Amino acid sequence: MSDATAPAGRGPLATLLASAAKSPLVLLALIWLLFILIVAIFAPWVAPMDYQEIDLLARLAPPSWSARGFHLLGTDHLGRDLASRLVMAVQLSMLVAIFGTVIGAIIGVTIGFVAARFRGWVDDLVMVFVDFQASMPFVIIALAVLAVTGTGNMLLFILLIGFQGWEKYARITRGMTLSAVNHGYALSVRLLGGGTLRVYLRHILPNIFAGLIVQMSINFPETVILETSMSFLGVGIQPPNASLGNLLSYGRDYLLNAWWIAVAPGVVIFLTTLSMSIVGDWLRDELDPVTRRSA
Amino acid sequence: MNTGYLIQKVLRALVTLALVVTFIFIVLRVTGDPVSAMLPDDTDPAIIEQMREDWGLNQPLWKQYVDYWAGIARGDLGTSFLDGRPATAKILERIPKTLQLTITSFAFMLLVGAPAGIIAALSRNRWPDRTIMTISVSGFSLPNFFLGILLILVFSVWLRLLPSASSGDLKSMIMPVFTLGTAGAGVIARFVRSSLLEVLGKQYVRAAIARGMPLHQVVLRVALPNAAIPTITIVGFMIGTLIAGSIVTETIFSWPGVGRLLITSVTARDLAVVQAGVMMIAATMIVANLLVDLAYFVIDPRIRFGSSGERQ
Amino acid sequence: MPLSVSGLGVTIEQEGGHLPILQDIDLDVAAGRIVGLVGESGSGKSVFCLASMGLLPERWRTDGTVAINGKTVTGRARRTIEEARGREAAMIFQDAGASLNPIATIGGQLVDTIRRLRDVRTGEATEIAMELLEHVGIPEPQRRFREYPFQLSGGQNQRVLIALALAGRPRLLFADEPTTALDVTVQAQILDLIGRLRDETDMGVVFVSHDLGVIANICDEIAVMYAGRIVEYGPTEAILRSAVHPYTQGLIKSMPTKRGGRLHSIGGRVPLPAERPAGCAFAPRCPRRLDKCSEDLPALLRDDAGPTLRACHNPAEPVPAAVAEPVAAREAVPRAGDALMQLTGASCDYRIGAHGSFLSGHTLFRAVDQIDLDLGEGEAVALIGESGSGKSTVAKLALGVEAPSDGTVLFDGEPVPPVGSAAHRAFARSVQLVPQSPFLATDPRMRIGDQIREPLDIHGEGRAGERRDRVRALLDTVGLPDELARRFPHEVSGGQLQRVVIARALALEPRLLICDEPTSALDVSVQGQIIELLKTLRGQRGLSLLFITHDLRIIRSLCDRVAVMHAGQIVEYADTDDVFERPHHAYTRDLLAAVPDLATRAAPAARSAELAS
Repeated sequence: MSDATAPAGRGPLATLLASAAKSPLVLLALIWLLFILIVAIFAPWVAPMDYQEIDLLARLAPPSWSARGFHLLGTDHLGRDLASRLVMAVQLSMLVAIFGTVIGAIIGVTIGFVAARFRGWVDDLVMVFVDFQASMPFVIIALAVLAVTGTGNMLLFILLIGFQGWEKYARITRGMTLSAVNHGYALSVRLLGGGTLRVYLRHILPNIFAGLIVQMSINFPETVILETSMSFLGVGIQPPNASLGNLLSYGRDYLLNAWWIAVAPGVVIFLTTLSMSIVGDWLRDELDPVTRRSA
Repeated sequence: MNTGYLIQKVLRALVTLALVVTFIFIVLRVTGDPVSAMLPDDTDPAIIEQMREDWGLNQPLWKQYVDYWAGIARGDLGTSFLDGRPATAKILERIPKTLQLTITSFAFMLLVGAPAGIIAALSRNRWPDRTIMTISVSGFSLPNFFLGILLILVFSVWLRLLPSASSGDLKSMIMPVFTLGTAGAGVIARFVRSSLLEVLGKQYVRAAIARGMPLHQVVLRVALPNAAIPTITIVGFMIGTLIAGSIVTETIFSWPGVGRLLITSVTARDLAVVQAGVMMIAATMIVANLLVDLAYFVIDPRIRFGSSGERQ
Repeated sequence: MPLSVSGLGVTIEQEGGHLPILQDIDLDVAAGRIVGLVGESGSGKSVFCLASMGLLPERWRTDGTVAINGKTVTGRARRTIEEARGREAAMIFQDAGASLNPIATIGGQLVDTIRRLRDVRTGEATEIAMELLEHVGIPEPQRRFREYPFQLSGGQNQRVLIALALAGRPRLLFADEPTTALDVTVQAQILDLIGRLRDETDMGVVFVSHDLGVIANICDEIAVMYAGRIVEYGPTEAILRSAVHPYTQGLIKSMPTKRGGRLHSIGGRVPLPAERPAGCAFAPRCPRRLDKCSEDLPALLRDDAGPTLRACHNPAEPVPAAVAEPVAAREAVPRAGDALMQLTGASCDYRIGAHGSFLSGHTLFRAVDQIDLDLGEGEAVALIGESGSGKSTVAKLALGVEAPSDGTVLFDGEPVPPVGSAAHRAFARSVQLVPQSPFLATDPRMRIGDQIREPLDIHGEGRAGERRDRVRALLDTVGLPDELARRFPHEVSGGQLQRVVIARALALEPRLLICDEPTSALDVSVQGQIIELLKTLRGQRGLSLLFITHDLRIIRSLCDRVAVMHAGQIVEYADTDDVFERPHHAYTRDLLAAVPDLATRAAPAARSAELAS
């Protein structure tokens, strides 16, 4: 109750950034994520060459800066510039991860709200599905669906990835909403004559927003790993489109003479998920009122 | 004794099982025609018709659904269209290999993760804690397919110490187990740490110390058993993660288990095998969850003697 | 001497210096004596106990010496305190349920402790455990022995905790708010038990409480603490009769008594350790402040005239407690015609079991059982009861949060509409709630001004400018400055926030205010502010009140009539003075007898007089 930590006159964002500046690890993680985001957005301009341009004379070239070509990470078996392919893969993988996370959040939050609003059998039904999803590895369900629809449909794949983690959003939304509705400020507003819409949009949503942001930051690396794993296994993003996962999978065949082909995308994935985990932990400590109060 | 809790959990397991079966039925039969999905577009219509008949697809939907359940009851989940063998048989023969990998990884995960978490909690904010937590976060941020490839690169390609593919001997298990267990060990270390820290901050721990209980006894006899309760849930979740991870691990290390079969079947759209595999995994998970609920019942007296498993 | 403390200080080591928590504490506890520590939250009472037991967190540093039974346990003598815990000194805590290992049986925990502290085998330890359970008054010890803490009531758990404390036959007991979480009747039993054990074992007791009434009833000596220091110290009688420190006097005056009277309060709040002023820490709140108070720290010195010590530059004239105010003459409001709120044969059932899941059955629990209650226009009715009596359910019925399972609940002759229905919007203008915890009742992410304005927004009252003025006027009504409107709930104190909640409830100018334990989450020093505010509002606005509380003492001067609830039924409903002076029902009498009160200190007083002679 005495945590009047936020200095008056400063927005929440400024307070957040000030606290980030104190931890070098968080700062590094944020810088990496920003870098990846910029690369993803401006990929076609960042990429040194056309990522699909084939140069059969320069196949499996090691990293070089020769007159023949400027291949920062060398070339693949068709002589395509790997650095450029990596940049494009970053773009696609981030696109899938961001869309996937947002879709999951929207679906989950809506379902959570519905369960908390209607209670009774609706709630029971939702919880049976949530429990089922929580106990079933999502990748298995995704595989079952892909077995029927076939692989290669990118839009469908993004949609499928989006469902990953919906049950966690649903669970926290439902939990936080119920605790607000039952004995908190929400009851006060209802006793003042406020309607359902006011309670949910004006009060509950702003209050659970921080929790949702934290959940998104936890979900994001999971989504990245899911997408890259599936692309790695050959059931996700298919060539000629480049994803960090299928790039790595393909590099596996050249470990003996061109190990960097596999390692480069792997390092990018690792640094991105690690950075997001660090940022997620930090956000949870900063935003989550529960852990904050007990700290 | 709160038998209502047990009945409720068993009922829920059955409902979930029914849900899984129905879900698979819907995905396979309702979202599209599996036969035309499986066969090339220019297949002879007569062959398509023949297959539809074999699969019972020209029956009304409810009849298909009933037949579907009857098939499951007989253990008949169709035949692989690649080699014509029963799908269940193909899955069953792969199970020992997968169990060998997952159970070893599960043990590795617990034996490394739990002690690491305990050490971290007891040395809170000092260097052992910081080191363990850094490794832990790195561990579960590292995708297992990348970890597997790094291991192959270092230990098979460069150092030539370990085989990169399964050969059945113990040596060939080292890298797959490490690949599969690392992320889980990281998650468990982290969770054990935070739940032990939470328990150590509880009033009853302070009260036990105030009664003169030596610190090591407080940790062993009061804190750890209490911290173990929430950890059970996370361990239950890890079983799912292990199964998911085994698909990748088996593919990387050419491990002849269910996961690898599942992936090749998905790629080849061998629906009967995919369906049998998914159902097997679902059944495993449902049983695992039931075991978690049972573990709660055994360990936590509040559930064993409480009313309907929920505290007032 | 069981406990001898001199120059005890506790600081927290932080970046940028030390944060002083306790400073310069000297205190002795003789065998067979109960010394009470009293003060508002943040005064350092609990820290004193934890520091003496060596239970403070690592970063907290202790100076000075603490000797338990003559052995110094502070400084390098870390091992000494470890050996002393349990054997020489024991401790019991506020929330007994949370102080017991939730997954071990009562018997298991006892046997374990006894074996260790008395060096006996399991068989013998089991016998001792059974004796101890019986000794602390646990009914059916054989059965309880095998049960778990969650299966016992709060009072029983506190008895178990006491039995555990007795396992090592300590000479000293620290009791840190041991009865605060308990109902008054149970509290009285636990106080009796502690007193009896002291008589039997002659151990010394340090008794911490924020409730001066409790302290006065059980303690031989009282140490009043403020902001980490002892500000006044002396025999209980002397403190109650002739306290001279303005803080002690403030505490005494803000204690509600069964005799009623105006409730005082101490303005301001206890400063946080980081913001303690130089000089006397109480100076900013002190009515008798001198210039030198904010410069010189007053030392704890013996009062020339009496047996007490006080740290004050400008001590006040002694004002004997209990006779501080005469019994207030309540202005009785005559019953005006029809009832405003009327419950007739109203019952309320709850379903218990796994929240109505379709897989599990449920049973019905009757929280309120056929009660009749009426409240006239302008009238104030108190609803008294212990936890589980159903009193909060009555509030829910009256607000439309719950529908009666049986009988009727009428407001102004119409049934109370359920929350969320169209009719409820109009009803909300007339009936409002002041709930227990203002922190739960306000949106943590919305500015206070916006929250007070919200009822006006909902009901579309006035234009934007007018609403702003109304908010300002409402803040003024509840005695808060305008600038509070821009703050968030966590930036103000509990007492201020409760007034914000009252302002919000008043925005629609309701006819009836339902107050559900509105002061129980607040410090005793601000409790008076809320009660006095409600009294004023009643006078100014003709507001009707339904005041729900477990604390009999605070309603004597506020309410016209009192309904006593027990196990879902109203056992007595009469004029306030009748209930206090001539209670009819046995339960009401028990309740009245159990209430700790500065005026009803009898037995311990006789005892200390005996000791003195």
